Amino acid sequence: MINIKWTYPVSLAETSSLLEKKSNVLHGGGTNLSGRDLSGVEGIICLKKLGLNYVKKDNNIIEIGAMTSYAETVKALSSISPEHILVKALKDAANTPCRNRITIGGSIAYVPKWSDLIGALLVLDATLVLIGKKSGEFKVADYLEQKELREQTLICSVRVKNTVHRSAHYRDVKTVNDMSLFTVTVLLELDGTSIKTAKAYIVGTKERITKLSDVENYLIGKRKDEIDESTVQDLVNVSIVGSRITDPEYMSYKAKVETARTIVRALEND
Amino acid sequence: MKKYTTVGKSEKKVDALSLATGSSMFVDDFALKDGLYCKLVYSPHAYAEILDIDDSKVLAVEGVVDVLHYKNVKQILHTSAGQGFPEPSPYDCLIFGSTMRFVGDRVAMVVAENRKIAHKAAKLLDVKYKIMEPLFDPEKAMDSESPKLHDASHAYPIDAKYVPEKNLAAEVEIGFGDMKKGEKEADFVIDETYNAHYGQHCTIEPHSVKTMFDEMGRLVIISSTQVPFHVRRIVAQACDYPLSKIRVIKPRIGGGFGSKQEVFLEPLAALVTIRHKRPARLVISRAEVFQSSRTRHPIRVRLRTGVKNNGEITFLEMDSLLNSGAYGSHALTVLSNCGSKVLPLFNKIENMHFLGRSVYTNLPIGGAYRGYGATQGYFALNQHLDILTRKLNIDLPEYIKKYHIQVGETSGVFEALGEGKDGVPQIINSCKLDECIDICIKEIDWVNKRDKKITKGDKVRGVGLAVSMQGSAIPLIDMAAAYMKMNEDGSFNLNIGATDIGTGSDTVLSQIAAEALCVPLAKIIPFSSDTDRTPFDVGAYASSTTYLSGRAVKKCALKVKDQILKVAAEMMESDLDDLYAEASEIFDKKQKNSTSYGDICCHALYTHNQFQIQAEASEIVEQSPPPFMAQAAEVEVDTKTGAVKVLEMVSAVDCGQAINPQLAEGQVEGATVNGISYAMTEEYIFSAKGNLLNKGFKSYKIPTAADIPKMKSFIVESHENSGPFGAKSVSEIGINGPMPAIANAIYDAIGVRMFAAPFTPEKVYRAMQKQKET
Amino acid sequence: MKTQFNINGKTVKLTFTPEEHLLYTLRQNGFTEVKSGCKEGECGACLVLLNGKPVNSCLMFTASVTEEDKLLTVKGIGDLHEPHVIQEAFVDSGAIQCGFCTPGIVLAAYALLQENPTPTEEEVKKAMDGNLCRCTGYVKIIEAVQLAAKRLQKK
Repeated sequence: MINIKWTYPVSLAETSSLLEKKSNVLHGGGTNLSGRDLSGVEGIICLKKLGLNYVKKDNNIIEIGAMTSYAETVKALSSISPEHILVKALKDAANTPCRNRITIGGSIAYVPKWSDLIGALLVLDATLVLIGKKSGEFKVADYLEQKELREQTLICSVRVKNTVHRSAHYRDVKTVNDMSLFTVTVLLELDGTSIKTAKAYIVGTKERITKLSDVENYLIGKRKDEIDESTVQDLVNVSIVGSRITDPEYMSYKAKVETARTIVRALEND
Repeated sequence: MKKYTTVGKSEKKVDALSLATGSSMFVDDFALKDGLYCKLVYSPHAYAEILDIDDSKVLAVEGVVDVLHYKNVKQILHTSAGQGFPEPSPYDCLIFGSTMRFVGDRVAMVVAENRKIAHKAAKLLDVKYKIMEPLFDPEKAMDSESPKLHDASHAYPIDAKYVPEKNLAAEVEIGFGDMKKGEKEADFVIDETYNAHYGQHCTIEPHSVKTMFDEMGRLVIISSTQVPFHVRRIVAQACDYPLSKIRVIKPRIGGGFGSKQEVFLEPLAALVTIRHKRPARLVISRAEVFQSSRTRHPIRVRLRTGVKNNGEITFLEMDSLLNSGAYGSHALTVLSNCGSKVLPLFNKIENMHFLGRSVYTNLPIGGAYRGYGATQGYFALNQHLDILTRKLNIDLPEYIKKYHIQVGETSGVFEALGEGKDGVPQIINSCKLDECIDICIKEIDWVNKRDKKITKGDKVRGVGLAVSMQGSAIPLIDMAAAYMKMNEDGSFNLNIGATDIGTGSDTVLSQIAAEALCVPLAKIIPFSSDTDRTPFDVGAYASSTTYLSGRAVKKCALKVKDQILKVAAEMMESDLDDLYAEASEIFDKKQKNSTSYGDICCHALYTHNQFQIQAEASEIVEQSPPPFMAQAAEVEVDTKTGAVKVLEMVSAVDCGQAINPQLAEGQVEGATVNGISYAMTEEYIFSAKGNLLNKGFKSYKIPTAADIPKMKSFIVESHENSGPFGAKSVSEIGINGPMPAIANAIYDAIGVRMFAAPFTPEKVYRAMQKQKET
Repeated sequence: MKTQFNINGKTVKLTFTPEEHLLYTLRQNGFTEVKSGCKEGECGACLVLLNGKPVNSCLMFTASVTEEDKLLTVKGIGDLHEPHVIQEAFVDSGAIQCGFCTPGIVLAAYALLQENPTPTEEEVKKAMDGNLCRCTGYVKIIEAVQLAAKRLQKK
């Protein structure tokens, strides 16, 4: 029986060298790791002493340390930018005690089947800072795509735009603290009254994350009153998967309806 | 209303502070010295014979002490249903058998020094199965081609219709009047089928038991149970162990709602202690609670009513099919209650027929659950009334008021339908259902919302109403007893078998005793639910505690008071007729003097003609006076997605005299939220092979405080002469109304009838689509 | 492993294994007021305060709690002889039935009122979104928190 060794590195360099051993795993808030089978794990690297718990604003970039919890992120961002899409996405995720432990970094690294964070980071074209086997600043989208970026690396922080663009987040849940069956996240940049750029993602699909490119293209150049909800619906064609889905055909339909509504809601935030 | 001193007061619950400060002890808080950890192993197959179990690899693991299974456990057929003896449930289960009848049935139990060893070793159990074709559809259960789930050797300990070879776990049929006459007189017939679904009680404390030998060698069972006395008896039976050597203690328990009116873990832990002479701990996980404890019985209810154009129902036919799951505990009694608690409410129907059948399936086991068949029956009846009154353009509340049972009236159903025996005729003594209905109508603003389809964008609103009655104890079957003794400061010990499962019965029964004795509540020292230290009580079910146990307590207290008066008469040289009790003193109205209770007791204990002032009393009841309830819901339906939001829920209950209004409200609120949740989000999702997929709170959704709608609850007091200080029951009834009230509200909003729940967006949407097509 | 924990204002040295969860360690060492309801972070019966913040001890490795951390269980805010205002408010409001969820809910209320002494009803409900109670229907729990807030303001 392997006796797992816990380490509490105080520097990124120390963490980096610990990551060289494949059988060492990272511990952020622990909510995900707690439920996992730890066979094969020889070491747990606890990140609490690395000082990665912060939210900083530098010009128009907000940097969030990887060990910042959802609750801390929401609190800090609410005073900087209350309408920020990250606030909207995270404030209702999971439940109060879990929001105090789930970390931004941990959430990205373990991307669970459900996630309120990922859609928001993708619409923001967020980047993250890595150390370890691969280091540097990378797009979150690339991190999710490229396996090499995820092995033996540590996310130190996430960088997002401090944007007051129009945004909205929808979580499909049965009760308030439910894990979302799917989420829709929308971010729209306006030029006057018409949409200049549009970002829309659904998380929870068969592909896990679906970029709604057709919808994005449709929205560009349009004004609020020019958007036809049923057209938007026609452009959303996804399969929502999960063991709790008893009526997949319905869920695909719901995804259409709620995407259209989320876009309308984003534009109502004036 | 009568004026009382402590009855009718919202006295603080006697255990509230110890619970609030975490000092109360629940089963798993009792430390065991040198205890053994027990881990159950379950069947992965819905229907299979165990051909062989090889436990050698498990036993070889260091720290494993035993593996219990069919080869080394006495095969004693019994029922796990916590009911009075002989139980109205079939003896169809074994502690460990060789036939597995659902995914989650018990194969074996590993006993080890600690959790880690037990869990690791359990994986090494080698079981060879012969997999058989399972039966999942209750409608097909009695078909000749269907698999047979139970043995012809299984039987009820009472006279009850039972055909295990046909998967028939129970059958009930009653009728009166002339159905043909009723059909002839009808102008039209409404024939609809309603389906009540699976639900789990979700007590926050999982089922837990600890067993040990005490210093005298007696087997002590500390269990999270609603039925300590039934536990003692069933453990004695199933383990073949002398009852006199068993002591069952119920400490604080974390909720029951019926799931702990069942004896299915105690015999296992008891066996471990009996064999190994060491304490044992058996606490099941949340997943095990969902899959392998008990559920609400799904019941398909078909209602056929003949109706005259003036609204009168000329005949009513109820055909209920109950899905008992793998075993038959409570299969007969829940089935009976589906009729017996529902049909009497509309007693003007002269021609009635009720046919109920419970069938076995290879699915999780149904058991007692708050409402107990009435919930399922009222889902049907309340929607049926809504359909009927809409068809005739009659006002539903007025219709109910016109036709429901009234004070002084009876129903043939009371006598015809009992619980495994004949029923008991009774006359209604108290009924304030009309006031309850009026309150709901007013508070929900029925007049301005009903049929108005108030719309905002995609969302439409509607209101719905439902009524119900329940019972208060089981007449002539249940028994409760109490014992009281007096102490020299005028305080009293009150020992009761009655089981406080969080409902506050220790407090309510103490209030009854205090009122009868004319002392403040603080002078009563309650102690409950210990088979060695308290007299018998059937336990917490059938809404019996306040009414039945309360009557026993009152009876006992009055006996004690008699003794106090006699001692006082001797002390004061008074005429007994001149004496009366008030505020812990006995007054002589002629002599104008008094003696304190403390002095009286000291005199009795120490001074002259010494004796202990004490008494016992037992009680059975000849009737089960129903509480009555009306509940109204307002919903908002998203016409695009089918998503339903419950905006408001109003509940008004006639529970007789509320002994403790705050506690009564708490019961109403808890039951109502449970009912809403059952209607809106709770469901069991099975795989094609009968495995329960959603075995945890992440996937079986119940509400938090953030989910509840606007809630208004009202206690409408009546006075039930047969009840202690006028009380009836209140704990179960609140769960019956929400589902039909919400269903009726959904219909009010979008004209779609939901014959099955939960009313998830997908189900409502599909119903909407189906409606469009027809 | 061994750590000197700060629990309810007292230091106590506890031994635990690397994969052990905080809930288990606490209960094994006498802190049975912290309850186990689901082990998946949904019911909140295991809720404790870590540096003032409510967390589910069932989802925490004991090893992730270190000496500088301050843990609070429901016994740390008040006891039978000197209950906290919040505990008394729960008693007075009839917000306790079986009481199994109560330690977690009382702590959630405590954490809320520390951060937000005058919460709206919506804020109270949201602060309780990690606590399941099957007995009360939450109505009196919400009232209890509001009563506690009022009484604390008066002090």
